Amino acid sequence: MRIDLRVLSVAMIAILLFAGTAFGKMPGKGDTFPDVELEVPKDAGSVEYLGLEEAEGTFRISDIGSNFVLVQFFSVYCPHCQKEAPDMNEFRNRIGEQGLGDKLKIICVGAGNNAFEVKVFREKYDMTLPLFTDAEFVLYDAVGKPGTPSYFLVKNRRGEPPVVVYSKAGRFFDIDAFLKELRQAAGL
Amino acid sequence: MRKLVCLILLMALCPLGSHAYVGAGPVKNIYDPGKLKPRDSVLKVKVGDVAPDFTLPSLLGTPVSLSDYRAKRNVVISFVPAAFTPVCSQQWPGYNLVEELIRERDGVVLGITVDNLPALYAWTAEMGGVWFPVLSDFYPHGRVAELYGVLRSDGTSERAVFLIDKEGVIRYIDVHDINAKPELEQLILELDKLEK
Repeated sequence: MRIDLRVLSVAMIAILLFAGTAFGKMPGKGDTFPDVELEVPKDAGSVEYLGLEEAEGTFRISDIGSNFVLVQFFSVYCPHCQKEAPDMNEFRNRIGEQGLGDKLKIICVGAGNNAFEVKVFREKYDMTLPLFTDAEFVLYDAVGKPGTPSYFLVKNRRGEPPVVVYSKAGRFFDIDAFLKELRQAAGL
Repeated sequence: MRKLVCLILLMALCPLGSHAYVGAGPVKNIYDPGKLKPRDSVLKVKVGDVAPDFTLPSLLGTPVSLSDYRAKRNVVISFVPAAFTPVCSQQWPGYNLVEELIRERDGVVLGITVDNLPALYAWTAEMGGVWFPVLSDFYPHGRVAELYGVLRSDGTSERAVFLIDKEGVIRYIDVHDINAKPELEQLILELDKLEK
């Protein structure tokens, strides 16, 4: 078998880039967050919410049209994530009520979950936020395999990988307190 | 090319079976037995057979028999190896997720392990409860698992799914690799094949 050297080199560079976080270390404040490609959501509402310019193909977190992005890792199989799902909708509403809708967007990444599983989760809990599959654990591994749910608040830098300003492993129970923490971390 | 890069990355970054704790993170008291022999028993039933009836004590407080559901429900029997282990602690919350999808198909789940009722009580409570009957195949140990041919040599059961229709006939069997979750989508597809 002939090995394509370009492929191999890209893979090796990617491994080196992710190496710091791939084996158990969650990126913390000041660390870059892996700017992997995600599929553009199928529904127009999510495309508009994220402020994406293209309605198909893939995008990166750095393409999202807000200064800050909260990345939630969840699993449809995680009982705490199931319980927290309704709070996620409420959390989005609260961000809007506080006039932060354009500055702080949320994406939810299903660690190890496929399209069917995420669809069932979305429908069961009437999720209004954009949910993404990470069936092969690519992004999940790159952030050090945190428990679910986990949160990373990243500062968006157009054209460059985002920077983590806050991270938290485990469920939030108080929407207002959580939003306050995020606002403080982001200086919003 | 992108697919190949991803493949190489995956091979480098995620050794098989390293994600057992995803989703089970908040369920604190988990014992990880490590990677096990995928299958360690020989089935004693096959698709098309009438499912052997059984009666087991349950967390409902009353015994549950398979025949209770005859002519009423399609029954998904989910044998899982043991309480407080990583994969099982995702699989049953998965059945919570698809509760409506199973009910819409006239289905019910019977969750069975070889643990005793106190252990099953504590474990299911820690998962936030489950909507379906949980049955204990503890004594005589693993009798029902043995009846179906899914009792392993170490006394645990396989991670096995049997789908029994309203006539009591076995319509689908998945003795799954004990180290991995069976696909929910497959279960729903199999339920769709049965008459409501």
